[in-house]
Amino acid sequence: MPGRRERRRADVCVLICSERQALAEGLVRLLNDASVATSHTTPDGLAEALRAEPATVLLLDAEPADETPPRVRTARRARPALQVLLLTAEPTSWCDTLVDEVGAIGSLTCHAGAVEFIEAVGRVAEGKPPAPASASRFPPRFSAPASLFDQLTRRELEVLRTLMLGGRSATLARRLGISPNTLQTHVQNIFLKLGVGNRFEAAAVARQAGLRPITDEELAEGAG
Amino acid sequence: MTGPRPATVLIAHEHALFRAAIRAAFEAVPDMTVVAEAGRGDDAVVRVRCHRPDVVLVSDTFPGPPGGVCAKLRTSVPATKVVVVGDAPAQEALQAAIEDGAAGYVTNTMALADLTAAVRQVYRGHSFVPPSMLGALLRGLIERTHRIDRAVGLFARLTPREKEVLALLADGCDHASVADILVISPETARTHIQRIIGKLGVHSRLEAAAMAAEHGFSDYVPARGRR
Repeated sequence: MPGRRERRRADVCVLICSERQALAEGLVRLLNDASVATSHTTPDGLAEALRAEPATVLLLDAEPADETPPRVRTARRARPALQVLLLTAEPTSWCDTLVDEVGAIGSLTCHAGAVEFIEAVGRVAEGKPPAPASASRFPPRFSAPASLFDQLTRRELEVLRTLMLGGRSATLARRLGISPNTLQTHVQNIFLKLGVGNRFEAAAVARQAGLRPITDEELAEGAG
Repeated sequence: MTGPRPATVLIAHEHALFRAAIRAAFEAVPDMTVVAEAGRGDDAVVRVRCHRPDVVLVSDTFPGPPGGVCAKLRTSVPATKVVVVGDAPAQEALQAAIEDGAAGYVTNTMALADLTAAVRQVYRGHSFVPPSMLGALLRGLIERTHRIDRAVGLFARLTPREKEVLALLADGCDHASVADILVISPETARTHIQRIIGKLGVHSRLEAAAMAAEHGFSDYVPARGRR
């Protein structure tokens, strides 16, 4: 059995690219333990690493998001056939946009467990999307009737649509012009009203209900 | 002794993938054991209480007040040493962590071996701060001490009556309610307030109130009424 697994993955070589070196090194260890040849690099060393390593899959940390497209372009220049898998903080519709924009095969969130992570990388190595994606991850039990959103205040709705952008609390709070504590209060109230347990589910419910992530223009209007 | 027992570590971080990665790394070294993980701040406190690990690695981005989890851990399980982990070096987060009683501060941008060494160092009773951040940390802490000293010096220049007025301002009173409470005329209250503003070297009543509130001034002046 292990022999078969190794054969299947023998030609797979994963390169992890992240500023977060400790995380990257830990992930290398996880994959190596699962018999997947893996190495890591910082974004600065990406082009160099791709010339040196026979990587077939690039796991790219998508934080900060605006750096991601140029990094993917760099990687593709060095190795056009590379499969790119994005590692994101939160699963939001914004991730899908980024995946489309850079032509990645899919995205994986930092909320994934070790098994889910290894399986996702395995699937990508075979040229398949990393997961039976959001469609099956958020089954109908999360489908919220439209009236659910009527319970939200105007500000809570803004906060919810900001959550859909993804990113860290501090960043989101700054965008909204409120303190992280205030953000957290809004988020807790949203969770209660929508009957969800985390930002994951909140974003998924919002997406299913057809809400769009908030735009910078709308944020600017709200602030003014 | 054939060697010290492995350090027990609890990983408290909102990202399961980070927990898995760090767990894999710690399990690979002989002198560390990961006893549990926690994905939320409140969960972390409960689990640390029940597992009593030597060291807990705590994310600095847990929801709630910055360092809130750290402070709570320090008071509820003092024997467990806290190492705060941030995604990227942040001087503010470092200072908050140290003020809340963390024994170490590491970042995700460090090499894994350095992060492991930092946890090991904290387990042995030392502190760990990235050397490149130490200078700014000390400057920040010294500045804070100076700020407090300066404020205490300025407060000392106030007369007892002015201290009463300032305490009321810090509680959110305006000059009319100060006058009411101290049974003085609004003009007298205004004069007191102007003197306070002058002595503290601030520009407004609000600024004086903020300065008093920041240093817990109202706690020291119990008077609320005449004399």
